[in-house]
Amino acid sequence: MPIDFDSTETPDLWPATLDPVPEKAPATILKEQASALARKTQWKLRGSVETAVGRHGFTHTFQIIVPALQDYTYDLFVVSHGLEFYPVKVADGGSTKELKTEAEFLDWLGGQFRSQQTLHVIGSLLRQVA
Amino acid sequence: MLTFLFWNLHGKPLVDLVADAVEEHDADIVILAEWGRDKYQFVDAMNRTGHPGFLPAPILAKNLFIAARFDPDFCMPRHDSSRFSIHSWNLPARQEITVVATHLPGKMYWSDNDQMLECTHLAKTIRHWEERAGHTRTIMIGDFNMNPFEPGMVGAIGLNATMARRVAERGHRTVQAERYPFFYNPMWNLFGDAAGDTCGTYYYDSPGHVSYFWNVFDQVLLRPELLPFFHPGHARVLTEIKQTKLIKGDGRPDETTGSDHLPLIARLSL
Repeated sequence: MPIDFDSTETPDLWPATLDPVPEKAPATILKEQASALARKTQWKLRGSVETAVGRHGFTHTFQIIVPALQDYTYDLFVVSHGLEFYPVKVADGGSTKELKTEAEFLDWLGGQFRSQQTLHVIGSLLRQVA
Repeated sequence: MLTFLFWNLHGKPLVDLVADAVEEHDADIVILAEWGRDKYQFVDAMNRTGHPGFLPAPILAKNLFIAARFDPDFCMPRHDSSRFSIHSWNLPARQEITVVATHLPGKMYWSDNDQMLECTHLAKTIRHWEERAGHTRTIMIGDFNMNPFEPGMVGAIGLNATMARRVAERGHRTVQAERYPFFYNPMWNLFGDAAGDTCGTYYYDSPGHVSYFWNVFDQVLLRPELLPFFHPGHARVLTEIKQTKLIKGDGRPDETTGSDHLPLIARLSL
């Protein structure tokens, strides 16, 4: 359709559809896992994702909250990424590791949730509220 | 009097030396970073001194060891992470205080910007828990891996820690219409060679153009509400414990007897 330059209103120059990228946002994945933790513990523990927006992108902190302990909070891990979802940067020992795809991120995430440290924290918190 | 001992042990097996420091300075709350031993070894050693009764505090911060000479039921954990622990002590006949213990990432892996942003997050988290507690009787102690003059320490949006007690007593400062509560940082008084045998708590001779040589990475910060209970001299860097010298002849930490960091004592007359 030709642009009508006599119109006082600027024509809509955007394409007909604006689809989100097919990948799932890391924050969405983390929020789904936060909900799964609550279901799995009968809501004794609540997962939460705190997001901060900075000059270089987004930082998400995955937290475990214990409502029965006056909302005691444990920061399990922190991930960050730029405007693009991937690579996701995660702490790996003292340095930083880059996860280039959703599959790599999911694999790392599963490892975090299954780690001895995580299971120890969750076990300790569940004992507190048993 | 409530006495805090903080020490980054650099992974050294300094169990007996920590216990000696506890006894010599009558410490009530002991916070260790990079302790590198089973925590019950430390607790057992502390309880062999003339000041027994130590138990680990009920916190889950994996990079910090905290023990206190109080019933753990007096301690309410608020927020733990790999870098900090926020908890409250509600001791009999005393007002509740909030303790923030920290060991922030070092400069080997984190840029100045990373450290600044971490302090912004930490400051926001502390303010959240202060609002929940309904008071600002907060003491923060640990290895910040930053000097007192760095942006993360002094920036309003960071920890907003000033060297001047009278400035801190104003309570807060406003930047771009946002109010930020002050911390008072008494560690400025311990910078330089006028303060004693050392010029800080950690020595690093950087090969680059800029080197401070001495750093005060180990610090204690106090909110103005705690200042009536804190006096000059209540924060000290230890250079010896009983008869053991922790520094060499040139004043640098002696790693053959101690750690690469010097221990810190802070007292509140609560």
